[in-house]
Amino acid sequence: MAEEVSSQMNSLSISETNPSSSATISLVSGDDIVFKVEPTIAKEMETVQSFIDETDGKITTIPLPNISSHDLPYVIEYCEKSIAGKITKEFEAEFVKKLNNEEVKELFLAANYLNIKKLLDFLSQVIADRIANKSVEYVRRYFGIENDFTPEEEAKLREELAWTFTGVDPDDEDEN
Amino acid sequence: NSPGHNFPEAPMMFNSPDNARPKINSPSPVTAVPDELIAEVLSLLKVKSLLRLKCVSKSWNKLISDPFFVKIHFHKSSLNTDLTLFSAHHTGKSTYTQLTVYPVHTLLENNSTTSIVTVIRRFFSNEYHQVVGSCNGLCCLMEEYSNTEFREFSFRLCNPATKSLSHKLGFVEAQWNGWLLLSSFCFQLGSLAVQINFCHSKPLTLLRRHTWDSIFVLLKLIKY
Repeated sequence: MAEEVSSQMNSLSISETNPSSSATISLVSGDDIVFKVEPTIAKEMETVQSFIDETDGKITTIPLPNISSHDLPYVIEYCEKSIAGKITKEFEAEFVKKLNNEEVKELFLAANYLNIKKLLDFLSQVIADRIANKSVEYVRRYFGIENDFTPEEEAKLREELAWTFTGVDPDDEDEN
Repeated sequence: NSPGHNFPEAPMMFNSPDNARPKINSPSPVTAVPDELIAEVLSLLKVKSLLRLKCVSKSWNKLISDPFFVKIHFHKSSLNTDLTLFSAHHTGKSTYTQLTVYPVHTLLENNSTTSIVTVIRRFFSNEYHQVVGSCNGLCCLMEEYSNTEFREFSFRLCNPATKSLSHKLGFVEAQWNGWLLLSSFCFQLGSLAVQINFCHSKPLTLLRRHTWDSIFVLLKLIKY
């Protein structure tokens, strides 16, 4: 599916082709890999579709600088299943089984960037499930949040909420 | 090469994905997740996890306590119905009420009653409290104080999910002359101030901010 591009981002970001209803759409990842997809797939990605609409379908090569060639195939796979009406609980379980927490986060951001509501909702739930039993420290690292409490403030809050600290999983650095 | 290739100082062509960007697993600055996406994820968490994550930072603490966020969380979590079970315990002369919260879906998926007993968690127990009623996850508790001349009934609200108990919200007195107190409880979701209305007295206002505005404790004194 992916093919390497023998030109730079600057030159390939917009290439005009003859408008044709059956023309495939080329999605270019941030690391310059081109993925050719059917126009129906592009429709699932609101950001891509509005770009195509704005140019009356003349432009069929879309640069996606925020999305890596590692993440894009997953997004495309999900969109393909979605069009086929085959998003089932089983598919979704299989889909995320092979993804670690960092990859889930990358895909979550990609879904947000591409404005794919279904994928975004699904991944929100996946992340919620995965952080539900995580420690406060893990969640800080995961979202890159700086702890701005003073040690006293944090200790006081932890004491008030002591009952919520039962059943927390030990942090496992290797899981990513 | 493609015709567009005329920038000799530009980065190398044929970049492999690994060179073009840091590997997913390599130590790299954490990608910032926009606040609205964080709020979306947090709104899906159960209360216990959510409250624990108040300790993440000041802004998370603020978000999780924010009435607007609480409202969104309430609507989303209303899909996960919990039953609140009341049970009265008698120890000698005193009676206390115990509240336990039990997710309805596990009841539906598992009809074995023995599993219910083991899964039930004790969330709240407070002596001498009688349950007036519950509504949308909040419970109204009644406390009775009595001496030889009169009886005084006061009320508190409790949220079994957050294990929080309000201050006394108001009270009524009844003479010791053979009156029985019947009461019920409801509230309206709405703005941010809480009002306690007793059907036969002036409304009392509770200054703490909540996501509901009116709480009605309906009392009826009947002669027996």
